[in-house]
Amino acid sequence: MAWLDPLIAPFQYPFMQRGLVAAVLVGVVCAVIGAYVVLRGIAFLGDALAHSILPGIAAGFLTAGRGDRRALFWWALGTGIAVAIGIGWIAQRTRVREDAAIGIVFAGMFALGIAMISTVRGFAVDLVHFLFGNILGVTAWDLWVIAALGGLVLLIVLAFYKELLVVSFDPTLASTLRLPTSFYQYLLLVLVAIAVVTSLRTVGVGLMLAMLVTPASTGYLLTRRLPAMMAVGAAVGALSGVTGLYLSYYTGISSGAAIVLVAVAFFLAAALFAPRRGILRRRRTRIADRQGTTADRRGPA
Amino acid sequence: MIWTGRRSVVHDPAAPALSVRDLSVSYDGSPALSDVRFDLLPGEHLAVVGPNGAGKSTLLKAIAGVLSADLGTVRVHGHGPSRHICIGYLPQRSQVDQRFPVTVYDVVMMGRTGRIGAIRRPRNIDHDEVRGALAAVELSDLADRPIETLSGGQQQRMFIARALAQQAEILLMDEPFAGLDVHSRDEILALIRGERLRELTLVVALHDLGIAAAEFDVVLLLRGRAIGFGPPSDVFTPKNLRQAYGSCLRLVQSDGGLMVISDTACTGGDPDGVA
Repeated sequence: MAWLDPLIAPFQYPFMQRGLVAAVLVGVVCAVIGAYVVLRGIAFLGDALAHSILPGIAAGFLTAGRGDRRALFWWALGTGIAVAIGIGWIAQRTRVREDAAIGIVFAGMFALGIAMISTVRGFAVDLVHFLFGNILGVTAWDLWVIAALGGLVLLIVLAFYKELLVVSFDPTLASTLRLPTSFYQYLLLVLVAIAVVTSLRTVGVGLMLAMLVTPASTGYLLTRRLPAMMAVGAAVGALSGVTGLYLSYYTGISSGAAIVLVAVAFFLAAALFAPRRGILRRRRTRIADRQGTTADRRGPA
Repeated sequence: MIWTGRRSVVHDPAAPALSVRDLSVSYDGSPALSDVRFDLLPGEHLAVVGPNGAGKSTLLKAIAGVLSADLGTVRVHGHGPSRHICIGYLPQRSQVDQRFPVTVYDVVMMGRTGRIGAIRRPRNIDHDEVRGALAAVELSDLADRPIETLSGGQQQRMFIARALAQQAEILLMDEPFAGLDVHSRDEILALIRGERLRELTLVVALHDLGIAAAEFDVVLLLRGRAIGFGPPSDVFTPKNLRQAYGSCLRLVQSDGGLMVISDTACTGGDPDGVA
C-alpha cells in the first residue's frame, strides 16, 4: 500500500489528526448555516460578525493571559452572541443605510480589537493566529467544544428548518402565519456567530467568511433544493478542509489559506460545470433557446 | 358604507370579514395612506385600484398586519389582524427570489408552517392539504419543479395554492396580473371565479379598471386616500376617475357608456410598495 503513504504520512502526528477532525467539523457546520447566509444575501453581515469578535478575543487575551485558551474561547463566544444581536438590531433600526451602519460597527470593532491586542508586547504572532487561524494548534479540548457547539448549531437548524426556510424565503408570509419573525432572524444571526467562533481555530476571523459562503454557494450551484444544497455544501466544506490540510502539509502554505483556496477551487469547478446553473451549461441552453428547441422553458436567464 | 353584495342574500348580521376604519399608514414619516374606511362581507371580492404610489400595497400589508397603522383600525372577523392566521398574502412577483432553491411543493407546504408547529415534521394531513391545493390550481404536474422554471402565471397559481393550503379565509393579492400574458391572466381570473376562491374574501390590488369592473363585487379607488368605495358602476364615475388619475386618464363618452382611455400604470406620486 505504498501509494497510500503520502495520504497517511501527515496523520502520524496527533496535531494533524486533531486538525483534520476540526477542519471537517467546521466545514460541515459552516456550510449548513452558510446556506442561509448565501440565500438571504447576508454575507457582509456574516463577515462583519466575524471581525467584530476580535475585541472579545482581545479582552480574553488581556485578562486571562495568553496561556489560558479556554477563557479566550468563552470571551469570543460571548462577544459573538452579543455582536450578533447588536448587528441584527442595527440592521432593522438604523437610519443610516444598513450596509454603511454595519460597516461602521464592523471596522470600528475590528480596530478596537487590534488596538487592545497591540498593547501587549510581541503581539504580532498571536494576532496572526486570531486573524488567520492556527489549525495545528487545536487541542483535544478545542475539539470537544467545536463538536458540541457545531452539533448544537446543526440540531437547531434541523429543529427549526421549516421556520428558518419561511423567514428566509418570504418574511411577509412568516408574518401572516404569525411566526415570531424577529426571533428567527436573531436566531439565525446567533447561529452564524456560534459557527464563526468554532471556526476561529481553523481559518480565523479574516477568512471566516469563505467557510460560510464558498462551500454553501458550491452546493447552491449543484442542487435544486435547500436540504440537498446543505448536504453538498457540507461535503464540499469537509473535503476542502481535508484537502487544504494536505496542501498545507506538503507545500508549507498557511493552513487557513490552503483550506479556503481549495474551497474556492471547488466553487470555480462547480460554476463552470454545474449541470443546471453552470456557465457552460447555461451557454448551451441559451444556444438551444435561440434555436427554439426549448421555447416553452423559462429557465434561469 | 356596507355594500350589500351577493352574499347579503343570506340575512345574517354577522361581523364583516374585514372592517377598515380611518386607516392611516406612513413610511418613515411620510404618509402613504390616510383615512381609508370600508367593510367587506365574507366572500366579497374587492378590487383595489389607483395609480402607482396610491397606497395599494401599503393597504394590503396593513390588512395583513405586516405594517402597523399610525391611526385607525383593521378588524378581521372582529379582531385585530395580527391575531389571525386566516389571511393569505400573495406577494408581487418581483418581491420573490426566483432563484431560491425550493420546489413548488415546498412553497405550498410553507403555508402549513404555522399549523404544523415548530420542531414537528409535516403530517399526512399537511401533505393531503398541499396536494389538494396544488390540484385546485392545476399545478399537480409541476409539484417537483424548482420555482425558477415556472412562468409568471404558474407562480401566481402556486401562491394561490399556498394560501389555500394555509386555509386562508381572506386572500390579499398584490398585482397578480402584472407582467402576465392574456392566457395566464385568464387562468388566474378563472380561479378567482371558481369554486374554491368564490367562497373566500378577496382583496386584489390591480391596475386594470376593466377587470376590476367586470370581475369584482366591489372596488376601492385609492390615491393616498379613498376616493370611492362600492359597486364598480357607482365608483368609476368620471369625477372619481379624474380625481384618482388626473391627467393620466382620458374619458370618452360613447354610446355604450363611459369609455376610459388610460395609462393606469401611470405614476400618481411616490413609487408603490416601498418595503
